Amino acid sequence: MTKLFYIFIILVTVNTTVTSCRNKDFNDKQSEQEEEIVDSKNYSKDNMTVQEFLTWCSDKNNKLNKSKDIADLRFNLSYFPAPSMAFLELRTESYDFPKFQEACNHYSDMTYFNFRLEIIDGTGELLKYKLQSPAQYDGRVKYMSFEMQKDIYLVQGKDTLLPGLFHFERVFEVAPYSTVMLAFDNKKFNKNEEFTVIYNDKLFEKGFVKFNYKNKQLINLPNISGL
Amino acid sequence: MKLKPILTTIFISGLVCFVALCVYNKMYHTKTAYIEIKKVFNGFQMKKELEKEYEKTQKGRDKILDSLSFNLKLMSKHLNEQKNAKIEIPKDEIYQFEYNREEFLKLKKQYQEDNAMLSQKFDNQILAQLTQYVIEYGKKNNYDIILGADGNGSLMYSKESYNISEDIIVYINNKYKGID
Repeated sequence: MTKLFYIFIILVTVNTTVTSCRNKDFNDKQSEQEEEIVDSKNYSKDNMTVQEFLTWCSDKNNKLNKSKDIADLRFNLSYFPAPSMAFLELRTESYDFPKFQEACNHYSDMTYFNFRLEIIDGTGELLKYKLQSPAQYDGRVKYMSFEMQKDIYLVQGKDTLLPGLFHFERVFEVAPYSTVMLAFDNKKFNKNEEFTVIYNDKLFEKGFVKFNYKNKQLINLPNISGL
Repeated sequence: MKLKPILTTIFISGLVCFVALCVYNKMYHTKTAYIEIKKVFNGFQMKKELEKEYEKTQKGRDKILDSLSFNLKLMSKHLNEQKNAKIEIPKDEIYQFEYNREEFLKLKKQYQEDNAMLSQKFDNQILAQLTQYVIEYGKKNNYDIILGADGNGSLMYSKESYNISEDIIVYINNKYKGID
């Protein structure tokens, strides 16, 4: 009987604990701990194949890809390390490692990002989204091709850096998003330290869209076996 | 000897109550909170940044208007001096003054409209992002309702413990800065 009483007491205690778990602070601490666990787990991975490396890079938990929803639009910034760029260039299943290494070296002077603007739950061409006139479409194409590069910049401390490379990839009606590839010169900022990439959206007037990369987030990457 | 069945009954009743309470909490408990809209709006980093940008633009425009206004005053003074000295004023100078005055008034009106439009644009941008981040906060913390108290009577009373303005300000500023 005493045992039953103790079990009852334990159940009541569990109930109290469960209720207190609804407390916000607890949730926050828990999620922070979870993030730390994810980080440490990922950083311990080593000697991956190229395919594993690409999968690792595209995994949101590794925080190389950052996404932000504002109303009906999604802004996505993905860091492309040199091996990812080399993969895009070579596009082959069987890797010739000297060639792959050469391509990696070719991309090592810049920090490459893929920036995508997307309509959430939308279809059709992004540049035709909520279009008010045909002239506006031309204006949007021109903006993305030439003007947009002045509205994307990297901020580190008090320094502001415009992209050294900028390329708008036009997809027409194929997908409900538009993509630009941009790169910042490694000599002009410190990749090891915290920085923020800012886009001042003038296409859909959403204002400043910021993506923060913490210290060493871009350099603590897994190794690719053979490289 | 009769104590055992009584305690067993109490225990089973307690257990049933506990399960019922858990089910009730899970199914019918509405997690509610409120924010002070003005406080959150003023504490939002984006608002502070855009406010600075707006002031910078407005000051730049005011500077141009001040300069034009000063030139107009000088011209006006010069014309008055000539008029008082009973010197015939060349028609070119009068036309120039009239033209400059028209231009000044036109520009002043245009700047007033542009300032109002810029202010409206920034307000829309701030509200779009603020609303988005509050929605994300609500979803992340399993809120059913987050009310906005703006002092117009939409929320007349609530316990202070339901006020999550401070937490929201920290959250929306981190989201705005792009911090995960």
